[in-house]
Amino acid sequence: MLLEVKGIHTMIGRFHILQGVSFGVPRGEVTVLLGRNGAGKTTTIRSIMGLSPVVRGEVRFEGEQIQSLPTHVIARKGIGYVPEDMGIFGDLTVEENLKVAMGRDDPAVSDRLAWILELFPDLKVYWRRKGGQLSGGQKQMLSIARAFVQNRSLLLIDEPSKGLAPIMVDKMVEGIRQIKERTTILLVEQNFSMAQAVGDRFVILDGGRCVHTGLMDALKEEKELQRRYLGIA
Amino acid sequence: MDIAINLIINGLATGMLLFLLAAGLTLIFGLMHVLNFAHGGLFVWGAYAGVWFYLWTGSFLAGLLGACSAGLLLGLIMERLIIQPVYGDSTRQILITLGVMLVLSEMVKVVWGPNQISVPTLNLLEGSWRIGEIVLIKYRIFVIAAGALVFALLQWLLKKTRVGLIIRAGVIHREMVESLGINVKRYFLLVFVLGAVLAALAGMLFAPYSGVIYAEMGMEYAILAFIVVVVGGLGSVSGSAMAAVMVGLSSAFMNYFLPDAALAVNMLLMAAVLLFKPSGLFGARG
Repeated sequence: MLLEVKGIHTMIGRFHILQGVSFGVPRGEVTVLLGRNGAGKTTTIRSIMGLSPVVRGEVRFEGEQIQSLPTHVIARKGIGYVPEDMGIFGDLTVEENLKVAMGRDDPAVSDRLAWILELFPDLKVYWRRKGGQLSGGQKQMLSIARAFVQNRSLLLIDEPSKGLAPIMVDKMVEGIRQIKERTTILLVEQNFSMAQAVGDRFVILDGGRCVHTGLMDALKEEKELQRRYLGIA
Repeated sequence: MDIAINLIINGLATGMLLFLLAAGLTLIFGLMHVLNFAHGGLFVWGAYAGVWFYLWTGSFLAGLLGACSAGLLLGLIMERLIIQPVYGDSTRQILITLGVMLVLSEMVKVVWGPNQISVPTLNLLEGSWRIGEIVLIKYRIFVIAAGALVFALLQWLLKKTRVGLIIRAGVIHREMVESLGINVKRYFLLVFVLGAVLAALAGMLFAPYSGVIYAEMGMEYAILAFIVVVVGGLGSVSGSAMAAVMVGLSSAFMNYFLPDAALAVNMLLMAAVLLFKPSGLFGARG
């Protein structure tokens, strides 16, 4: 397992949001976190990233405990993050947004940049446009590209299809399929067809607990699970 | 006509001094949401330490360096010992920085005595140039030039360097910058110390401009600097520059025509901005 989450509890203010979430993310696959609104998916991602404090339990990345480390150290261990709000620096250009992530000149990073710009050519077109002026889909591409160029071994991507037009969702599916060839991904996704299109495994959260895990192919047949936890009739 | 030009020059000079104070304040708030009420204390200490060096060595340059060193030292101590422990807790920040402001002002009296100290203009910048009917006081022109130079240097730092890129990104979305593996607190220390040095520098430049320095000047100018920061938009350096010129000019004209209402007009300006455009007149988008 590249990432292991073991019985984590996370409080937000006085709300006990995660009540013992456990699951693993195997290397080289796409694991999808599913569940209704408020199930704790985003909080799980933020807890892994060190943005919401884990009060109990542990998070292991490549075998090492990371749950009490500051966010920037967790990132440097090899975890990239694409937040739900995409975290675009609105007053910075597309180029500058990527430069914040890229640091010093490094040929490996330049190669990854060239690769991701092939995948998301819109970013090349709007290279000098400010992040705040991009469409929702372009912002999503920029946010994913920014996390990808850093060469992290795990990418946490929170709802990449949120608010996107169907044609953009298709592009996003294709993008994530390509990226998964190079990086392990933990994905939060409400759009079940997208989750099925890109996911290898699933984890279903409900009420701050992990209620089911398994292979995505098996979930397709589990109509009862889909109805109960995902609201799919 | 010559009155108007004189007032404009006064206003610009005051504006530049306010800009030096406000630049640090606005970045400190923008990056870490810390309202530093002790900023005026750095202004006073810059002035006193600088003037002390200036009178001791007879060199204005030594005075400027002394002021900057005082700002550097105090900035480092304040960030490490006083601001670090109260990150993310705005009530404690306000109380502790206000307390530090009072301590710094009173300490000036302990070290240099309670009376105001008069400061001579340096020989090189004494007197004025005359162009036709217009009299240009050299030291005021110098202050304006110094402020413009600092503004240009700050723009270069923010727009052309990696440090500046990270500061700008951090002002917009600090959590995201941390998620990209960057230790924002380290950059904040840098910004805080830079702000402290600029405040101290402003204090030293102010000294020969006003002719006297006194312990209460910190509070007076800090209030104006806060007005500038709010009017310019929290976190925006170029917004602060424009607002500083605006507040400086309004102070100069009001002080000439209706001195009793000078501060009130600027306060009203701030209140209007807070009511109708809280992001500031020139605020950057988040």
